[in-house]
Amino acid sequence: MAMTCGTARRVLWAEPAPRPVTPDTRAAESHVRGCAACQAFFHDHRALAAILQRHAPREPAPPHVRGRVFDTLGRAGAQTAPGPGLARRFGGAAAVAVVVIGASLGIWLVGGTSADEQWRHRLSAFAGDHLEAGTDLAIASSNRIEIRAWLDERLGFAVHVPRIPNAEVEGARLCAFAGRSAGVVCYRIDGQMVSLYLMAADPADPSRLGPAQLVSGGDGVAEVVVWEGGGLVHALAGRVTPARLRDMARSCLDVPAGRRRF
Amino acid sequence: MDNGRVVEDLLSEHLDALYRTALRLCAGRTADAEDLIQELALRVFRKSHELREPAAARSWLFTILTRTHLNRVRSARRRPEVGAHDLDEQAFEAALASWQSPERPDYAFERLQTSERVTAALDGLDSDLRAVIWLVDVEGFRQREAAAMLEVPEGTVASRLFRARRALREAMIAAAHPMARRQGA
Repeated sequence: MAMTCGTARRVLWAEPAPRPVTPDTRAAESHVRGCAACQAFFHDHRALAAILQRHAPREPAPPHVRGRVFDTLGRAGAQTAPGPGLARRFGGAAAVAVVVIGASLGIWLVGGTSADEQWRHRLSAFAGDHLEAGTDLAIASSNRIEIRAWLDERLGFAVHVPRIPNAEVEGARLCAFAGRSAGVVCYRIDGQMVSLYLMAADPADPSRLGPAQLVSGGDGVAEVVVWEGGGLVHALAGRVTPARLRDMARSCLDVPAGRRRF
Repeated sequence: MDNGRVVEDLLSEHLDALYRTALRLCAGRTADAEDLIQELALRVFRKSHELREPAAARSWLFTILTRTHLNRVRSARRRPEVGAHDLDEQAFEAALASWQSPERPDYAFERLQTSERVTAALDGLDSDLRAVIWLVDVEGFRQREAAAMLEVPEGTVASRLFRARRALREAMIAAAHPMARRQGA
């Protein structure tokens, strides 16, 4: 390698000393030892880094930010399902291994818990999946018919991809909740992604919703609204206001009354 | 292990550093930074099972913070404030070679720097340059760690760090010596 100033600076730029000794780094260091311009170059950059270290803003987190963080943790802890052998941490329910919400997308039916607890777990599972997925899409399309065909083929049950006022369809993906397949249609509204989850309702589920019922809740970051219709569980999740999300739900399925909020 | 207590302790210990990094990622916008920190807390809680070694906690937290920020920016379809192009290896070498040091040491330049000037200069950088220079020069991560956090190649971090320092120097010189002849590559 021809050791010019640019090459020597690039070779030695990558990581500050101590660095692995290779023929290239030896040659670069030899070049710098004999080159005043390169020595000045590295001196300038060390000085800049030192200025930053000395004068960079180091605002401490204000008390209200700390409060928000620990409120969020408290709510998240209260929404996790109970598990065997774990200590009680947050009021109301024993804390559970977070892998339940993270990797496996949540528990759908938790034996022995009340219907309200069941719903908190479900809402948290939808919110968590929506946040984790971000802008991931398995199929990118604004054509609702194309998306419906894609989902029908993969889910094994027919779905309807509704038109939501002021929202653009961006695509779809699949996910699973406790081993049950769900289709997710992704909309964009006011610059935010909103996910519409579609999965077959479980006839054995004791917490099933009636025809005029909405269940809603949030974890402080994403809001969720759930309803049933046509043998399917529908859920909308997104960073929009609860009222906006409920309006979107109503435009998908006429649900005039019977609202519950968690 | 009580996951809730572990997460609380981790965040309590690192919250100041995470908050100031969130502020810089959000170009000083406190409302956005506070929202980012709240979402970070939730993600940390949900991912706490991924942390295998306590010694890696700081790097792990910063990784979640930077990626959460990037996801938020992508979700809102907000582009980085100025979409400057990354340099390939040849262009990077050329830029390195063209760096001009001052004819004599500029002690006044160093002496006239204040926290306010440095903050303004930082917040005026392109978001991708600001993220790199903050993580490497202020928070002390190695370039390969920053590359992993930002999900870009190490070469990209190297060239962005150079461009960030160059832009920062120009901004700080302009602030310290408004009438001075512009120096640098």
